[in-house]
Amino acid sequence: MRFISVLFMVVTISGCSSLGVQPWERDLLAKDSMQLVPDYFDNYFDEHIYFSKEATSGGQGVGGGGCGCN
Amino acid sequence: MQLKNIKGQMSVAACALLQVAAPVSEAADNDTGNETRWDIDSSVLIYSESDGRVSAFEPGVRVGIDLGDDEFVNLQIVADALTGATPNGAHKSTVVQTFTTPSGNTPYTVQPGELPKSTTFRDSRVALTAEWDKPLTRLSSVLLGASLSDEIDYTSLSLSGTYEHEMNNKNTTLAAGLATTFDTINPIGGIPLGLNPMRQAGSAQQRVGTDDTRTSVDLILGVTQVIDRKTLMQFNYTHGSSSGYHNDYNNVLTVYDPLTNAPLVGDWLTLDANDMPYLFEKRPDSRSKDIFFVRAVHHLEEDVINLSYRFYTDDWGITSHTLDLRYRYQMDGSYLVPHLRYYTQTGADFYRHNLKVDTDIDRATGAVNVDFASNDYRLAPSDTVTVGLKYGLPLSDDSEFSMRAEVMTQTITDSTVPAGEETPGLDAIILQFNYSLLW
Repeated sequence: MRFISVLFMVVTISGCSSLGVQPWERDLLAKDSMQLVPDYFDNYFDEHIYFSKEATSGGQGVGGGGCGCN
Repeated sequence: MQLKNIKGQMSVAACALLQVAAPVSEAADNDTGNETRWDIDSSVLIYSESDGRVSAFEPGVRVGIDLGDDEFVNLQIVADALTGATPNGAHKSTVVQTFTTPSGNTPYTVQPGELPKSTTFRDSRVALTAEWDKPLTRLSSVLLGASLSDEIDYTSLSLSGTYEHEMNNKNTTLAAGLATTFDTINPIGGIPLGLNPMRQAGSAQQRVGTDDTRTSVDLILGVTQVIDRKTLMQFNYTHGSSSGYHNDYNNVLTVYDPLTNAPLVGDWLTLDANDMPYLFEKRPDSRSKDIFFVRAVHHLEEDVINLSYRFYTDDWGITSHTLDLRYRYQMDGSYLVPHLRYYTQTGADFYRHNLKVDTDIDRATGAVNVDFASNDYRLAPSDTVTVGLKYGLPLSDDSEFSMRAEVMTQTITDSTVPAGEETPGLDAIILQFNYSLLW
């Protein structure tokens, strides 16, 4: 699994050099709605709810605190 | 939400590779000198499960401080007030069942055909988070974070650090992050001895101390890539491991007699009159997980699609798939965001509906021949579907109000459970109100 992930990232990064935009082409990318996480608390509460109700959590990032959630 | 004045001018490739990095890593390239800006997000969550299960009220405030020169500090506080009842791990039966509260002092009974749940509890929690995003060079930065969460039976301290590096004309961002979490579990009444019987209220319970700990370490590697003028993608790989106490101290399993199709009566229970036909669950004392996460954000003519997929696997035998779709529908002066989330998981290797006499437990002595067992519904095979709708209304260039309503439906998919003993699914309503202000 780890090997596959690393391999995937290498392929991704090497392929990235031909992707992307020029600085003056970032008009749409700069919009609020185009952020990876456009609403902090929506995401925060979703993580908290599903952490409490499902066996799996994480993947989006590091940080946050645990809880003895019921 | 994220406001235009600061965040609209960001370098997108420098944006949040990591969720925790999102609000602070948004460099305001053209920000006004060294003037300090405050970005205040506030929110209230109201969460309510059906059948008298858990209800929660959670207000939160997050303050982002732009110190200038791409340096940010975030401070956050979230409080939870919880009430309700939660399944205790035993399953429904045709007979009246009696249990003892975790304190060991009070009995409670459950009628035939009813799902055994803990007595109504009340709990509160306060979680504090502080983050500091500091540029190192023109193309790199470090994000340091600390979180502290405290409730009556649980304390959690988390420290994290993430290094980000931009390349390819800031179209690619690489990130490497490390987080360590220290949890302390201190149940009322102490830590029950796993795979040993619950005992009659008022009699001495079998405990192994007053508290226990768990330590977790997560490593995350990620890439965020601008694909074209309308498309952004994110790839994360996470490896996590934890060691220490993983049990849910509230949970038991029914000791089931296949001869009567009911909780055991007699046999080894006569060896000690205080023993009851329910054993406290026991999980392995370590867990290792791997997660692959991918997200795509794509701008249509006016609307925006935000789609993510997560694959999870761990050494408890759990595999899950999560698909999350949000479609932002832009209207004149406001917007709607329909949301659909689908989640499915396999059960843990040691997930069991109950412990059967003669198979799992010796009828004469009570000796248990399994190493681990839990009937926690969260470790069972299950599907969860969430459908929701959000409405957002910008009030000015610097403030916005939004609200969302969602319905979550969770179904336990263990087809081996006999009719009449099933763990019912879970229905919950999620309401949330947000107000954001740039000051």
